[in-house]
Amino acid sequence: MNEENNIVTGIKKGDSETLHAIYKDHFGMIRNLVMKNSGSESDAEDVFQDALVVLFKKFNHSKFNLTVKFKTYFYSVCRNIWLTELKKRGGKWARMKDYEQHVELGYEFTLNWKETQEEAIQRMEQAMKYLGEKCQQILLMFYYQKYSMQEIASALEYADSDSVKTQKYKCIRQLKRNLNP
Amino acid sequence: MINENDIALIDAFIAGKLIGNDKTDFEMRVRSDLEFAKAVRQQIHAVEHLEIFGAVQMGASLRQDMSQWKQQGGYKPYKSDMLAKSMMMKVIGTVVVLAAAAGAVWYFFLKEAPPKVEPLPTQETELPEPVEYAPEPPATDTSVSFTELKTSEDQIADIQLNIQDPTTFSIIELSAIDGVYTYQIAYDDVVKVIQSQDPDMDERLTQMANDAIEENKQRQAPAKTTTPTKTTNIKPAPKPATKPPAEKKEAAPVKQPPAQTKPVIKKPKEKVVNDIPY
Repeated sequence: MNEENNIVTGIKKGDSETLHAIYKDHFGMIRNLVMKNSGSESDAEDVFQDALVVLFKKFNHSKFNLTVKFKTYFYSVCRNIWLTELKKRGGKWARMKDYEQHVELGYEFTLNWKETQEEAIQRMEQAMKYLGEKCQQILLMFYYQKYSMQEIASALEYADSDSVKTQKYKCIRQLKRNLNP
Repeated sequence: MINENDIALIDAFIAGKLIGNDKTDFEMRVRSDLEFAKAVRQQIHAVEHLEIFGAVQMGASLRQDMSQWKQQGGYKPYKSDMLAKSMMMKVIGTVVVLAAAAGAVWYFFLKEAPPKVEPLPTQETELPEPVEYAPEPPATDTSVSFTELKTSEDQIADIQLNIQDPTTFSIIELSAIDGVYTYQIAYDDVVKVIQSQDPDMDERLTQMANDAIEENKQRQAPAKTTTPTKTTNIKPAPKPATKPPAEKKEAAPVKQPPAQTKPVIKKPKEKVVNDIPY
């Protein structure tokens, strides 16, 4: 179970090694699932990518608690994403051939998060254009990847966490202005 | 005016880190301070957008990483445990079904039946039909029939049993082929053709008839001494000096049996015509 916790923590941080390990261990399973259910290799890569993003968001939610094996949970997320895509492509009667055990997931997993957030993504892309690269990095590391001030200071070579805190204050104020002109 | 500490306080609230009095104070301030409430709303909005943007960024970066990982050695080949279990179950199921089918076939078709106790034969047991060697001729039957080769004694015994009036007895030798002698016998109203390997059959039968007639005479003599008795001394038909089979055939007044008549056990009965000169 310790290994499972390490995976969750790694995904929360967007740790490249963890993501690589997940790819190595589980992409074959997802590829099989997608390709045996009317999909292509490219579809499998899309599903794998989207599933990791969904997990990233889900694991960073403070209330989330993983109660099944990561492999089962990951397969279930990918299955839901591909089933949603199949229904979009071929109608509501799409069915899945399963190759692993899966768990039932909540309603949010049946939505294509990119489509539902399309407007927000466009607005954010516009707003971020007017921020400098440093600002983007600080904001994403703090709000998305949940890094601490100290970690950001170390990663972005700031003198201390207070410097990061001041810089972050300026950046978020600018972002708010950009989003709410 | 919203300062750096206010932003930190709002971050703590969004992250769910405010508890107790800090959380209550924060909520009181949101209700009372409009500028602070607006700042909170905007920051929540900005953080939500940052999370979405972060996800998009992460996805794009992950896709690039995936192409690199693919080139570095890719992923482990996939083996479905469920599929393997399913296959195993199918194999086991097939074996069980085949075994059951084989067992059923063995039980119903191949299993040796336990030894049956044969019931004792009852009266209903069909016996083979008795073979009629010579049909019982009707009283007025004048047809000629062949009888199979019996021993001379048997044939003589047959005639003795059946004959009513020995005075009507006569015998003619019809043929002699390959040691088989064919005789025509007449007694009562019966005319028979018999075959025998006994060349003296005619003489013995004639003697038998004469003995019977003589015996009858002796039995009747003490009772009817005055009554003249008609006697008939039967003589055997004159025999030819030699018995060449060919001549015999020509002399035969009735239909000849087939030349290849060899000693056979049974011979089909053959009705011959009624126009025999007797």
